Amino acid sequence: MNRRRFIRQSAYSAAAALTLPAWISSCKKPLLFNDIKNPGKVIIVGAGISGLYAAHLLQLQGVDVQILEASDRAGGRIKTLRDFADFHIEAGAEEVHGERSIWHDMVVSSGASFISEDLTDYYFFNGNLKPESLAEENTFFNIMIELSESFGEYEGADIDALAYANSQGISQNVTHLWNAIIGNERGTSAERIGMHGLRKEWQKWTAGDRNMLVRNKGFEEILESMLGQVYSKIHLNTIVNSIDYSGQRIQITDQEGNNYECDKVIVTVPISVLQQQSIQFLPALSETKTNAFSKIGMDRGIKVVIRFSEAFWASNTGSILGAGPVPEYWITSAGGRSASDHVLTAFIMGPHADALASQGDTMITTILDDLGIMFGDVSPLYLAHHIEDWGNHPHIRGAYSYDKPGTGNARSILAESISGKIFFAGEAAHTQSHHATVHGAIETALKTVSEILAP
Amino acid sequence: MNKRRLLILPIMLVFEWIHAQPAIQMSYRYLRANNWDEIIQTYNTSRPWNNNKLEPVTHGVGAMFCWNFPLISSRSESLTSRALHLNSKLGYHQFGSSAENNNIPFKAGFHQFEVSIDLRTHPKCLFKPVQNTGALGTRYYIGFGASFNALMPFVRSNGDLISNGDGEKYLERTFHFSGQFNTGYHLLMIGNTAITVEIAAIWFGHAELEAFAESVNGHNLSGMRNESTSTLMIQGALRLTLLKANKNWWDNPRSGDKS
Repeated sequence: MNRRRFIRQSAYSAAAALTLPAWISSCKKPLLFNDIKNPGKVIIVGAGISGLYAAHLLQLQGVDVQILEASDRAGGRIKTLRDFADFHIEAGAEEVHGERSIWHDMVVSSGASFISEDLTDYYFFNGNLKPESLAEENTFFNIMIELSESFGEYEGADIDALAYANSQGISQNVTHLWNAIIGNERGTSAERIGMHGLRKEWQKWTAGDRNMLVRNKGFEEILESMLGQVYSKIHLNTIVNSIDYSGQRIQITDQEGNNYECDKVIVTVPISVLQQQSIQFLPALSETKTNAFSKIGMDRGIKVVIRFSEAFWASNTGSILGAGPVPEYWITSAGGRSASDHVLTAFIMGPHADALASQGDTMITTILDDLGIMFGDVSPLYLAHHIEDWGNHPHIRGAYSYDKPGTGNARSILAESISGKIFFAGEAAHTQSHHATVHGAIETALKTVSEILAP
Repeated sequence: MNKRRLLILPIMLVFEWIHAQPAIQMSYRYLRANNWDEIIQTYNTSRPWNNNKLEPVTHGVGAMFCWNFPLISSRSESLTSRALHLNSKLGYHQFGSSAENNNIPFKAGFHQFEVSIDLRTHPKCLFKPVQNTGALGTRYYIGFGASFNALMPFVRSNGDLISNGDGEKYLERTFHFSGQFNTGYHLLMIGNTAITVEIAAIWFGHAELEAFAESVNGHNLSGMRNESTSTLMIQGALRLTLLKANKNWWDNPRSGDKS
């Protein structure tokens, strides 16, 4: 190497050494959104999980945010009974559906743990209560279960799930189980739920396949610990009457005549509230929008939590799928949540819930009689009960949304923002089949916040 | 082009395959694409309680098996003595990012499988003949190529590959074409092997990110800012080639190596 070449190569090396750190530094990528815009003041209507989470994200971005909640508490359809037994009992959302969701991670991060015991479901048919292993010896039961796991391949018309079961020749002996598994768990009954919605759920569900119960914490406690910073932004007992978005700024008026002004609104109220047009929008929402509301189903849902002096069920019992007025029970104290209190939950949705609701508080007698058919007389063991009828909550009016025959793209239409000012979030606005879940509600909030902050 | 010429081309390729030189390449790839980053940013933003944030998926490492065909070289002097080499490659790279929160390790990334071909030459060879352009052509080269890629996103939570709604492992595949420009330098020869360094720019005109968004965030709601994107990868690679012919630039570097 001659001197000239040495000098030239040294110069190249020096230049590279000087520029490399700058180049590497410029390659450093941001961990959080850093190209956001300030949307001005944001008001969120509804302090359910979707509203609380959206407020939390916006607050972290420095956005001025306020929550208007119609009821006297935050949490929406998350409601924890703290004093009914010696452990937390969920009167609303109870399971964590899937291990791959923001909600799952929030629960874990709050310090909560899940029950890990393997529990067995019991099925009542042909006059007997059978654990899953025995039920699987029945051909009709197996056909029903196989059919319930094949929605992903369904190619027919958007008929209801009961009509589909009948067309497939499901035995009448297990039709009530079909209703419990397909209809009741989705907040309605098999004759109201649409096959296309079930197919989409099968194809689009991405949250994971584990259903988990929290052992040591109530959901309300988890919300308070993880999203508590926004509780000071909530105006309770504030029933929104109208949202006027005709001007440059949005005017919100509550039932007391108070006015609130903002730049963006996130509406997170249940679909039932939108269906009944309890909030007046000015200018009025398009017919396409209001038609979309009506295409989404939401029925009454009741949870009756009952405490007994002793357990009359097998120790490994998870759910009990019955044939009477209550499609499904589960053992709330199972999995080591309590050693001394024996608690069972009756879970009744749709037409069954309407029938029981008409009985008022005497529905407990009907439920104990129903349990008696499967376990013998359990009335002497009864201690106390709590009825949570979500259809009676004036600002919720039902359990959670489901896809009716013909729902089609109604959720997408619901989720569309109006004029870049009015946004819709909440479980019913989930377009990818995570509706009817807490994590679905959270995801719609994330999507909305992402849209609002997008530059 | 008449039928005879069309026939000559595959015959030439088969002939050249016999003389192909196998190589193994270890490479590092740097991914630069805003929408890929936004998926990770969405994950981080959606979990503000996580102390350890997930880094954007940026770094990928992998290996490629290569076959170098001296398409036109000094051994086919009847055509021309300009060097033109065809390279076919079969490769795998893995891109990933990880963070641990609440004692749960979380890793997100994607597998990249690719089949590619590229043509290499020396810039000077484009305009004038170069002597002794044997097994590897000139010492310095530039190349252009195209690849067919399969991208498979993955997420491992607590060591387990996440599953979809059916309980199956979530590895949704998407397929994409990419183009690339590369430039390299045959660094040295040890025995019958040559060591080459190469840098490349790989461009995906369109990469579907729905599967990646779903795998990382558990969902991909339409309207989120991460559905598809153009993607640039910068690659640095070290290649070890097994030489079959010995008529190379190092046999007579003064006359053969014009680079």
